[in-house]
Amino acid sequence: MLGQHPDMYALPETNLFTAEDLAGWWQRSIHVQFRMTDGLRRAVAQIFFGSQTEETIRCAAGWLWQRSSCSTAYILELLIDRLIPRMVIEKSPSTVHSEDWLRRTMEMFPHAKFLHLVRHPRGYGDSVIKQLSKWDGKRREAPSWLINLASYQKNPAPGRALDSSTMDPQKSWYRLNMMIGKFLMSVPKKQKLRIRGEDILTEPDKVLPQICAWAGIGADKKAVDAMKHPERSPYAFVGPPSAPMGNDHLFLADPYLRPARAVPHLSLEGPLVWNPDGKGFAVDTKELARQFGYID
Amino acid sequence: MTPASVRKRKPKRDDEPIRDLLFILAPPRSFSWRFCAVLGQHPQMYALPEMHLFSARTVGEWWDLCAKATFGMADGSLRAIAEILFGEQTEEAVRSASGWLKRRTHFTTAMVLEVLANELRPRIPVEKSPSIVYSIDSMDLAHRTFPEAKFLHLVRHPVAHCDSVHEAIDALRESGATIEHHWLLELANHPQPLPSEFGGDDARVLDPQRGWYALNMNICNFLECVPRNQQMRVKAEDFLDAPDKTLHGILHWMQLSASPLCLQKMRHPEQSRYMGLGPPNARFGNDSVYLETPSLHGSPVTQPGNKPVHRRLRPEIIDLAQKFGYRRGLR
Repeated sequence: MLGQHPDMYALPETNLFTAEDLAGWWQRSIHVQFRMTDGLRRAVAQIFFGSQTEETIRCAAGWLWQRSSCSTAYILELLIDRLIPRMVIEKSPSTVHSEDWLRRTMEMFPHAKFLHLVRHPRGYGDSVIKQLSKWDGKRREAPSWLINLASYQKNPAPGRALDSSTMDPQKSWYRLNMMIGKFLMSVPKKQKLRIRGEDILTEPDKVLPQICAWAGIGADKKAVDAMKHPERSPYAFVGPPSAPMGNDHLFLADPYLRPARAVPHLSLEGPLVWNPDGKGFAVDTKELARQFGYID
Repeated sequence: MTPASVRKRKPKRDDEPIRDLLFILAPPRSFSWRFCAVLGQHPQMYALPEMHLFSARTVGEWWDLCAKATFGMADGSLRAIAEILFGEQTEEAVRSASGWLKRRTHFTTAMVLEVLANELRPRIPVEKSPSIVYSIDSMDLAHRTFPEAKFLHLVRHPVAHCDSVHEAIDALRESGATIEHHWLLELANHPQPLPSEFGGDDARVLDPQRGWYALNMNICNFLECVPRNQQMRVKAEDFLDAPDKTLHGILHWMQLSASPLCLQKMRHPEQSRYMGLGPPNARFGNDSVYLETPSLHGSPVTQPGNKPVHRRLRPEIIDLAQKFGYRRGLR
């Protein structure tokens, strides 16, 4: 949505900050269980080679391999340079999985702005469990990143999340948000903002101008209307066969703004669907959710 | 990420090699910053602060050295990048400069200097980090990466050098500062003397003539590989006693204008953008004493023989000083 503002540009998930240099980034991509390089290859293809085809994706991969010795932050700088004067938006979920990676963003881009996007822990947990359940009965095991979100184990073993005794997505919700919060304590006040995802979906005309004001860009009706069409992003569709992903697969399958997706007025009390013994949220989880403005 | 936080201006064209660059080679306490700042006021030159770039091959290695240094090694580079690429030396600009350098850990240090030199075109950057003379490899790196650069060897009388180092250490002690790993103490002990030579007596170990000799010999050995027309030697005392005459000679060698207007401008090193202390997150970047008294004749010049010689000059030092043209105060 934000990337549709004429003064902004939303990148797909580049996962750049998970490594110090591009050689390390390529190396890392071999070991993870998701298509880590798709987003950056699509971005480079689009921005430097003008389109996203099999051929330009190949060119993008070559361009990135040529720059293996470069720091990952320098690669992002090259993209930013190319997109001047638009403000570039980076949103790789992988960044929030490590304090070092979060710290690297600030160290490399000391004047960057940070938007902490939060979601109700119940909506979050339900969504994780729903995704995980789709792997039931499949021949392949669920990817470790999803298992990690469901059970938050340090070294998740494939298939373990299907064991309901270890499944509790509130743990990853709590720990990841706590890590972001801790990191944001080192960020100057004017460079950070927290927004509830549900508010963007249900009240875009109110929330999007607030974000624009904080980012220092205009928010006239035309700009806000444009932002309500995320489907117009060059990354809002499944990419060519060699780089199909680069964003949440649910978004790629249906990239339209649908306010009905947000379920307002979720409760912090009551049993959790993933918890067979009927237990509700932990005290810490509820406390943090209240800090985010989720009240019963 | 806003473009302004990444770069204030679009880079200038960098497809032409950097030919004009001047390195001042001098041991610490040789008036090198004053000298550099004077040259930098010439309309065709630009004095950089102490960047210490050639102590490392890549920016990543350079950051590692900065983390271990006992002085604000990164300050000069941060101030220069803030000033040249981000247009000012504020805390904000220094933060931008830090990010710019952190994103370039894969760059060679010479590439950083090349970026700055490109921005400064057509002015000739003058580089004078004292750290470069501690290693022939560092000077070789500068010459290898900028093969057409000029090298100016700035020398000072050995006795005046020793007095100056002793005075600075005394002042440091009086200020109550911790000097155990201070670069001044290392300079006074450079290279490390053999225990048998000094009998382990710490007070006697401080003998700055060893550093004067070792560092000047480093420079002399390095300059043997540099073409004649790319090197020049200047006595700091000549520069301070007769600046116009000395500057004339340098400008002639550099093939730059020596008009009265140029010389007039060079009498005001205090107008350098790096004179005075920097913002809190990059305070130094030059001789901290001179930063507080910036003028051509801002602090008293120790003349050879005015102060007691702490130790007798050794024969090889007398020989080298005579080679540099010193006749008085050596015995």
